[in-house]
Amino acid sequence: MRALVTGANGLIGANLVRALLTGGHEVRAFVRTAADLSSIEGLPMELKAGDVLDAEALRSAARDCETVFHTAIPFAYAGQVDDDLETLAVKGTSNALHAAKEMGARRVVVTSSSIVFGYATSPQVIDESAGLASPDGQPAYVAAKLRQDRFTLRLAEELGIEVVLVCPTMSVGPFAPRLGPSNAIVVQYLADPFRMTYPGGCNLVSVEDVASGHLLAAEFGRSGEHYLLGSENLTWVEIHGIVAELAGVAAPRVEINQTLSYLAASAEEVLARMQRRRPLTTRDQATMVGRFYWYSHSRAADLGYRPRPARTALARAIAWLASSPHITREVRATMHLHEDVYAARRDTEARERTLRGTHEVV
Amino acid sequence: MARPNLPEAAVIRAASAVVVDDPDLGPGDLLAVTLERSGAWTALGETAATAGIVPRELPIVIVPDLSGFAAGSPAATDPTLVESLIDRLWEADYRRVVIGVSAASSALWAENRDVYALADILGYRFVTPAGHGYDIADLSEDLTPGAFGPGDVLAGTRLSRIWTEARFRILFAKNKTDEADGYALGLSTLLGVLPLVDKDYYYRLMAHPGDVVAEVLRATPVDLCLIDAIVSCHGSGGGRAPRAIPTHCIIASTSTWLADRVGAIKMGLDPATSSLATRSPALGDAVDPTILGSLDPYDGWINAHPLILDSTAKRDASPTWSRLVRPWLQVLDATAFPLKSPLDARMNERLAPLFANVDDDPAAAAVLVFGNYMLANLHQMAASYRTLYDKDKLRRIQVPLGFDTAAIETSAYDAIVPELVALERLLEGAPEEMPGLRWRYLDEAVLFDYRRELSIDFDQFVASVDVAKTIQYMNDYIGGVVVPVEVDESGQVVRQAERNIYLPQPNYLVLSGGKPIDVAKLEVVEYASDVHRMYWKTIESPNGSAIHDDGSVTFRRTERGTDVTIFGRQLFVLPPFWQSVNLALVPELKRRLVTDAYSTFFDRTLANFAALVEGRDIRIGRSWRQPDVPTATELLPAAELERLGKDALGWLQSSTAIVGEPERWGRGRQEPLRIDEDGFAHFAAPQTDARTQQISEPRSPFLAGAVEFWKGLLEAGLRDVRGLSETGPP
Repeated sequence: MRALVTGANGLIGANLVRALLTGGHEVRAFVRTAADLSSIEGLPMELKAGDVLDAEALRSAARDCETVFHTAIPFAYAGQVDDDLETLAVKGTSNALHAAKEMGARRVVVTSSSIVFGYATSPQVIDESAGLASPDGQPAYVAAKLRQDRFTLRLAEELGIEVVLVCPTMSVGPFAPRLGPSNAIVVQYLADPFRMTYPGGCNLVSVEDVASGHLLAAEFGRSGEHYLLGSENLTWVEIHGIVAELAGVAAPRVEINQTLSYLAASAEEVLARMQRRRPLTTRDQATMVGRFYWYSHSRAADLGYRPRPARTALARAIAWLASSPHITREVRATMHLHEDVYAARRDTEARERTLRGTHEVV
Repeated sequence: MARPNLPEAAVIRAASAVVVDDPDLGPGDLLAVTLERSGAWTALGETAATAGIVPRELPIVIVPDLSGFAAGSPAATDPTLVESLIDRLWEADYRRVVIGVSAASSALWAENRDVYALADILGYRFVTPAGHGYDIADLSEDLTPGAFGPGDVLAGTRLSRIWTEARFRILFAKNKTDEADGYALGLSTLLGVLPLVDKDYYYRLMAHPGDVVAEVLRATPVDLCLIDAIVSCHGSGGGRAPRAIPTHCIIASTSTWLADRVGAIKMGLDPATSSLATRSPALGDAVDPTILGSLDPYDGWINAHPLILDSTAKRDASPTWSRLVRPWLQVLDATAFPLKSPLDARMNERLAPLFANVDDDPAAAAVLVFGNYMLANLHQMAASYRTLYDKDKLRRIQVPLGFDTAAIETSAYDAIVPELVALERLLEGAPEEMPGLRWRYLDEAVLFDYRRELSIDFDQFVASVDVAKTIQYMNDYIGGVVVPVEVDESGQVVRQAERNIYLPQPNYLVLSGGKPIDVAKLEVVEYASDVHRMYWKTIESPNGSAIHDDGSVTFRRTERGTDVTIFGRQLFVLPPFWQSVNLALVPELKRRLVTDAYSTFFDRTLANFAALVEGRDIRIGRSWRQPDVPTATELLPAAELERLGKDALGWLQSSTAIVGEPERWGRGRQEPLRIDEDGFAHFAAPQTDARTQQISEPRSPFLAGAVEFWKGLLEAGLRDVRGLSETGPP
């Protein structure tokens, strides 16, 4: 198929482009004019520059595409103006749906988030049957995603177009020009000299599996449905323990409560502001401490979705992060990568060579 | 033009110096006598004859001291004396005479400090009283490669063609004290031949000034150094706050080293006081110069007080403080040299007069010394903090190799491998203290090896980690230089000399005055298809920080990837505090500390190797500004301060600005609807709809942020108290 991928240079977009190319599909990548394209540089695809808020540019990009993958809303708890997030989520999705409809695309796959199904305060697993949570009192990113989902379903019905919403859980992995909150979980732990962890947990998945899930949703998903794309449900203690083992740093030493998490996040926000960088964590995120963002991907599994274990996802993420600028020189000097991380790196490099080599021959 | 570069000792051995002091002679006559007695005319004649050039075609450059901040300043060479020298040269038919100077750091913060304006203000008229015209050349222009070696701190530095191509080079220094170096004579004036404007930054802070002047003298020897001591500048203020004293003297020498020595002795100072004289050749049996004239100290001479010397030198070790404070304290003619920055101008106006005469004002001297030490301590604290927690903020250290590789016998390299192999044998059977690390004591040194297998293909590993550069890739390498000595047929280095500097090891020693580890080594490198190895042997530690630092590193191909083994013998000199604590009496603690120090160091070193394969930059510290033009430099601290001040003011204004509906808060008290019989005033109820409330509440972003923070903290606390009892969806 020929697919349009909006936000193609983002974490999910860049991996989705690779999954599509690996599957033998033609890709048209839609990115902002001034976007950092390092994550998709050199991939054999067509590049279209524009803004998802520009309906005409999006319409032009969607021409002759059978499927539109709309991933263009940044996963961010900081560095974005709340209203911009909302606009990008709702208006951008509206433009994507209208462009798909007008250009005759068969289906639109919209990247949502598992967060739209809320969370539990005890270790219990949530699935799609829980229904969408209320946006009231949620962090701006979560509220934007919720409004995006409700709006998408309503508009799809109005336009009579097939739309599938995929809801990745905490997606970690390679190829992102900026450090998003999911990979930041890893970086934050590695940069923390106190090796803190906290109560609660989340579902952690490889972004490469999320990309594969997008393809499955495009090919086999039911229109109007949500599909949670996750992997294993783990506590934060378990996640940080795996990160420690794979990166060769000390295991978690102390579990901090919500008050301390809030204070630590406040301090990080102040520090980041002074250093003119994006904070690794925010007070919004600190409110999530103690909660369980545990999800089931059984509905996606029915489509053939088979994610890697969380440990493998983290190994692949660390393999990439270790050599990226998201990890400082000082932090890298403290890391001794596990054999599994090197194996993951070799695998990623081989895939990249194959991907580029195959298409170079073509 | 090629001229033989003599070692410093040879230059001074062949040198002579004269001191001519006759209060009855006028400046011109005193100069004439000095030139006669110093053998200058003979030297000039021999130079012309050797070059096969008639005197009138012999290119001569005179570099005077132009660091005065007022016309007639005793801190600068007297222009009439320089012009008198030109006249004397003309009289002897030497007519190709140019005055060469380049601007100094002060040109960055004061107006009219460029070469031509400065020369004009100080009294140079481009024609002598006798009517001989002369040019003034800016030595930062028309640059040509300087003859500096690969192991020099000035490697790659270009020098003015006028200076390099001159057949006879004359320094004409001023006789003056200096509040950081004790005295500033010929060697100080010599810095004026270097092209970069910010001389303090590049030639005093980035590199050691003693190394700089030694290399300039070696690459471009000076033929005659004159010191104008007719009216000298003495006192604790030195050139910063000049104080004139008639001394009726001129010193001359064919060696700048010797001229400075004689000048310092005449001041009653130890010549070693100056940082510029660090590499001055020692006088002794092998060095026996001729000195004519009186070495009696000058009458009424005042040197800089040792406390001022020490505190200023320590303060000026900080690039920030030295560059910030200098314009504030400089006594100057503000009409001739107005300061560029308003902040500098204000501070100078207030501070410079306070510290203008510290020798007669004990209170001012005390304040100056206290302030200097305070700034120096802040600098030291910042350096300690950065060593421990923020290494990327440290400045990288630039040093010369410090020895002549040609003087090292081949046998010295040949002896390295057998010695280290024998040492390795002595480590056999040592217990493993940590995974991969074993060590034992040998003659008070620690004999150790550290081994780890990395899951990285050998060929990929050695393509990224050049074994010959291993020393530079080790943990906490903050600077140094490596000079290849021999390469094999494929162009790979097999013998090299290296000087390396590491942060104090372990890092916490910095808190007790631990020095950086500074060692110079000879190295032998071997390459085979499955093994790359380098051996090194320390030949000296310039700062006395190490007695032994010898070892080897081996990269070996394995089935899983690459095996890295680092072997060594190390004995570092501890700071006095740790020397006073005899840890040998607490062997368990000492063993633990040694194990921790070595495992931390080599864990991080191995991480560096892996990071190199990932294509990362692993060097700690920040580099100095690389100049693309002579005026290039780092932003001056005053400019940075002004920018920060503006930012802070902007932030303060935005944080304290009250936003909202001005008429709701700006008008003062609200008018009551009515006043009841008990005297209570009744007001309209506040609007409750959200929109109205939003625009009517007087709020500042700062206040709103504070409220939001405390609200969030309270909520987090409540969640903890409730024990996560809140229920969320589903």
